[in-house]
Amino acid sequence: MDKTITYPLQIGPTHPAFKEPVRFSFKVEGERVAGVDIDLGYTHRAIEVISKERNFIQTIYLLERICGICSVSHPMAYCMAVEDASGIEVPPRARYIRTIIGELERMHSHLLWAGVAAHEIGFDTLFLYTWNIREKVLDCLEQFTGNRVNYAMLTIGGVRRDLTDDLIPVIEQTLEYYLEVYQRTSEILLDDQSIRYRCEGTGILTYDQAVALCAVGPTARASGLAKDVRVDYPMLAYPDMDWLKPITPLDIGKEPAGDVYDRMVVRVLELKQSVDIIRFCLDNLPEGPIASINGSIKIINKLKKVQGEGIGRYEAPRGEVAHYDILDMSECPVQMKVKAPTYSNAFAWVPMLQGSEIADIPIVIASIDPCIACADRMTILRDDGATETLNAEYLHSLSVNKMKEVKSRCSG
Amino acid sequence: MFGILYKVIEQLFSKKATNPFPGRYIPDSTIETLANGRLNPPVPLPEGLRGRLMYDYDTCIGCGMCEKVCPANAIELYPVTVGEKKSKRIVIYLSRCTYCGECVDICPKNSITMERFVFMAGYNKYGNDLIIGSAQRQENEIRE
Repeated sequence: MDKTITYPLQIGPTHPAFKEPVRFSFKVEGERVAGVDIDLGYTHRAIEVISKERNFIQTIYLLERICGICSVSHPMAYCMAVEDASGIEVPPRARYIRTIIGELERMHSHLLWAGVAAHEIGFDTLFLYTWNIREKVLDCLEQFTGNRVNYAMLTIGGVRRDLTDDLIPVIEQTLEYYLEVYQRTSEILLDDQSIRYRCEGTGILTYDQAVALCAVGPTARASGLAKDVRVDYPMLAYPDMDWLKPITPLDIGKEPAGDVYDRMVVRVLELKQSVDIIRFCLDNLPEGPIASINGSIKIINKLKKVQGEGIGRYEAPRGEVAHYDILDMSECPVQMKVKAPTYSNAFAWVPMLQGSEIADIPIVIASIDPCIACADRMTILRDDGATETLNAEYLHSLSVNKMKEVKSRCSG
Repeated sequence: MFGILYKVIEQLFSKKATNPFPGRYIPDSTIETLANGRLNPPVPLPEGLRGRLMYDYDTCIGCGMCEKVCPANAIELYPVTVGEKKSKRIVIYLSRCTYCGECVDICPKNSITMERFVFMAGYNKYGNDLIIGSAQRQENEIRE
């Protein structure tokens, strides 16, 4: 009996280990995973299609709801794409305020991830602890924007509400609090024995695999790939920060192994980096207007006369988010395309899960901080329950036809 | 290991943040219990809170800009006559509203404002208590 038998193991679409619907088909040999197949498409909401029926202002609030956690990253990339297409300038003060909201959001997202990761490895005490300290930044965002999530702060060409003088001490206090708890939090998250046992050496994504699979965000940085849209691409207030550089595990003198522990290291260090960025923005906050065009109707009327296309890129907490918009003398975007970070990172799951133990599956899947609802682009509904395989040629022809359709609708 | 253990022990002896919930824990006099500091008061509302919408029927000019920018299509226009002229007025469906505040910003006459009030639960999504301006609509709408 030296012949190994592989067994199929289905996890999902709805499973307590996942926060969102996604289906994994594993082939297991004993306790080891021998084959992985990912099946997306259970939570597709057709946001790109809905946006074609809404005007540019309504689309901002629609895109805020792509993801509940990065609810400022998607509208940020969208606004940048539309500004790129129409040539609308963003005043310096608005750039700084956008940066501050984005970084506050990054802090709450990373703390949320740390809690989820702790929960997945069965360390619920730590889960409650990180979510408890996360409340502070949510309270700060609530004071600042009026909401805990879905801040409704951005508009095309600026921001909607100013950062008033009495709000600055509130943010300062929040940063002060995080610097206080940072020492203990990083100690618990990085030095705790039970976390090290579960995270070190699990879910390894090597440097070469990260390059080949186009991983983004903390997943790529944990593999030693120094890539960060905030550094690589000029946007918002980041070009003013010469000291900004992508965070890799090398910053604490650790050789990047690309395992779950390294992803934890990157996210914990980015908490500190976010505090530094917000400090810098508050110290150098320029005076001036917060929006280049006042009034949403004026923005719509201006964009109605614009023809062109634009790209917006932003470093969401999970990685690079990119939006591509086509404007064509209409109140609504003629075509838009959302590239969410999980869309890039989902492929990295395969080498990570290959060869891991069954007990490590939840933490490895959670380690890229997946947001399935952002990444779902297609769903196939059939009554008979038969499966359908779409090959590369078919998808390519679909894409060519789509582009022809868009071109035929664009005037000129 | 000991870092979190220290935290757990600290939390064990700190004051509870929540109030005991089931009915049998309700004190005889809430005010008295609050005054003695035995119940936790509700969390204060934040400064920039965007709460329930308020609509002033009389100052509205029926321009319809709020309907145009509303991302949730929660605003509906209906025809009325003001004096001799035909005009339009709005109703706001709170069950659809996302509380983004675009209509408040866009209104040229400041007819729409936001109240510091967040308790808006109801049994019927389209009941009159969740439609702002429904009373004026019943009174003034021109039905053909």
